[in-house]
Amino acid sequence: MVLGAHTKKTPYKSTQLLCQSATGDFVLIYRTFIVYRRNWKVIAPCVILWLADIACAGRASQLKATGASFDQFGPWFTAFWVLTVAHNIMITCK
Amino acid sequence: MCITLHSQFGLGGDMSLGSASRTLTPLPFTTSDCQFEFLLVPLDCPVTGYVAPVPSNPEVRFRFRFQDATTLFPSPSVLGLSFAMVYFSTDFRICSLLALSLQSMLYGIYLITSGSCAVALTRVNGRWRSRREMQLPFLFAGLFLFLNMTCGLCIQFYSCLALFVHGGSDGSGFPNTFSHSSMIQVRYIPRWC
Repeated sequence: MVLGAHTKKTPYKSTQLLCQSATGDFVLIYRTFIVYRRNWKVIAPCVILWLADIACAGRASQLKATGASFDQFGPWFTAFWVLTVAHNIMITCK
Repeated sequence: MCITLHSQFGLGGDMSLGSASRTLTPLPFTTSDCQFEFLLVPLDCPVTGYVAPVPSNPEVRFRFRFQDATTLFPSPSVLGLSFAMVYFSTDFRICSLLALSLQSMLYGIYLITSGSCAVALTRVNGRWRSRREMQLPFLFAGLFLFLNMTCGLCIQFYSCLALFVHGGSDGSGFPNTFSHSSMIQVRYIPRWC
């Protein structure tokens, strides 16, 4: 492939959005942690989801930064948002 | 070597590019890729990129890279144009402006609520909370969210500034706001290679 110097990319906007969501999710987890009197067992599933969330966000940003096509980074973004919504529902229902 | 989108790529006038055609000037010709590639830069900037033949797949005649107009940083995405629906930038620019307006309004609401939260986190009964009383994780997370949100608004503002003010190869910017040849954007890109 002819992907030269133009390929590199800094997806500021999407990274900022992903950071925002991940931080918000962390706050939710921490709040649940406090509400449940610092019981790790309660928030363990949410933490796992949150870590998966961050992994998806990182991968999506990395792919976008390397000039990947939407076909490549799109599923990671989708996974990120699905995990975020699932995480929010899960933690709200607790 | 120049390529005109309208004629060379067979995108009819009624399809999406309208009657306007865009002349592209590919950069160093490379055949190792076996694909057409060139970079479309929005805002009437000089168009640069690569061109190469695609002998393996007659349906896929070229690829092109264009600068991601949502960020306006020199960072092209690799997209397939042959199956793509292409439309002009007018909608995108208006959407960007609307996004900025909406984001600004919501940011104003956010400022007020985050101010209230900051007061609740740092003060109690008319005095400052001691360090032991403070919920530091919440405080730092709130601070980070605030900075991040502000940063996002700045990026959006910069995007709009670049779209509306700095646009135009002649530097005129605003008069070219709705220039049909200023930018094209791919709306739908199926898997094609």
